[in-house]
Amino acid sequence: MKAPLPPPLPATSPLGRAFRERRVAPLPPPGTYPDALRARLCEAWRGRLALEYRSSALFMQLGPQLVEAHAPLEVTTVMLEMAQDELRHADGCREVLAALGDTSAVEVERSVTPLATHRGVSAEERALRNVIYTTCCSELVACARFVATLERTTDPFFHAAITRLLEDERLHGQFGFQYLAMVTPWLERDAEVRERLGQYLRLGFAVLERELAPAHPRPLDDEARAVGLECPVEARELFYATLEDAVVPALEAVGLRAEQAWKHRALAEVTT
Amino acid sequence: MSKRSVQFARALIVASGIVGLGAGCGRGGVVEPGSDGGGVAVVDAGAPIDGGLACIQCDCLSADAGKPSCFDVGRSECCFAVGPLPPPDLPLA
Ligand SMILES: [Fe+2]
Ligand SMILES: [Fe+2]
Repeated sequence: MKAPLPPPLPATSPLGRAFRERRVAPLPPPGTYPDALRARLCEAWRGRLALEYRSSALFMQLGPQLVEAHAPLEVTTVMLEMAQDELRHADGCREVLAALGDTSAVEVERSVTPLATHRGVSAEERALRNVIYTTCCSELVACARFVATLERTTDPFFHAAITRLLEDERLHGQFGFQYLAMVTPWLERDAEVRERLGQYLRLGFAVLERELAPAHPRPLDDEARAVGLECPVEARELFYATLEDAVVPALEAVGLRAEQAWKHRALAEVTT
Repeated sequence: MSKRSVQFARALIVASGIVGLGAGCGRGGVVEPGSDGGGVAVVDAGAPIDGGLACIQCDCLSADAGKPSCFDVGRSECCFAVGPLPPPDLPLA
């Protein structure tokens, strides 16, 4: 169920003030863009806003799962801060849109998709599966894509807007590996958990590929490259490079059979 | 493709405390348009994709005539480097 995102709270609102107390880096003024490019930019940042907003609810739900996994409170705190980051990213997208002259409400998802529970596995294993998928995989790919995008974004306004996002995404991409490093002794002791995680990765990698490697990548024109629009060809290449040269070796390093899982990734039912 | 972006990802992992990070599978992730990239057939980059409402970025769901754009169905993950994506559920058999 979708609904327009409520408008920003005014400066006179105490909750609006409380929200603004955490300072974010200001953006330089935007350039002037041809109408067609401006329309593409607005559509892209509106899409990004809706996804940032949805991302937040996902990290929020990982909070209780980490509590159930009896994770140290610092871990759960950081997770919930990451959920807040995503809401602030959505607000940052709104700021970009306002600077482009687009103040119309963006449709966002009102219903919260329940986070996977992996019925039958322990609370610790459930949290770990979801942490690996969301941060070690999905958010790390996002980091790589942000870096690649920044490298070709010559427009100062969009360079600053994307940098602001990447600043938080670095932590989002690292969280899972920090968590993995922490739980390695448990993983080393439990061969069954490692085996099941390997099976889960087979499915996880295949789903991730479907979501993050555009099947029909269309190259991006130079005008769009300079303002930091996403390049599907680049996204596809980066997906494979990040998985093969960063995610998979890192998961192997903590004793998971990630290489096997990557090689045999499958959307079809995986036998556990 | 930006090599630095993958180096950046690897640096994040090392800084997270993961020891013994291997070199990776070495394919470099470069998938030529038109080639088989890890089991998914792709069309030639730039080739027209007929029909459908084109997603402004990638035509991800618009290859068949009449399909809505990925924005309309809320599945534009491939177009934006924003995450996290919802993990698939895998109950124990
Ligand atoms: Fe974000
Ligand atoms: Fe994020």
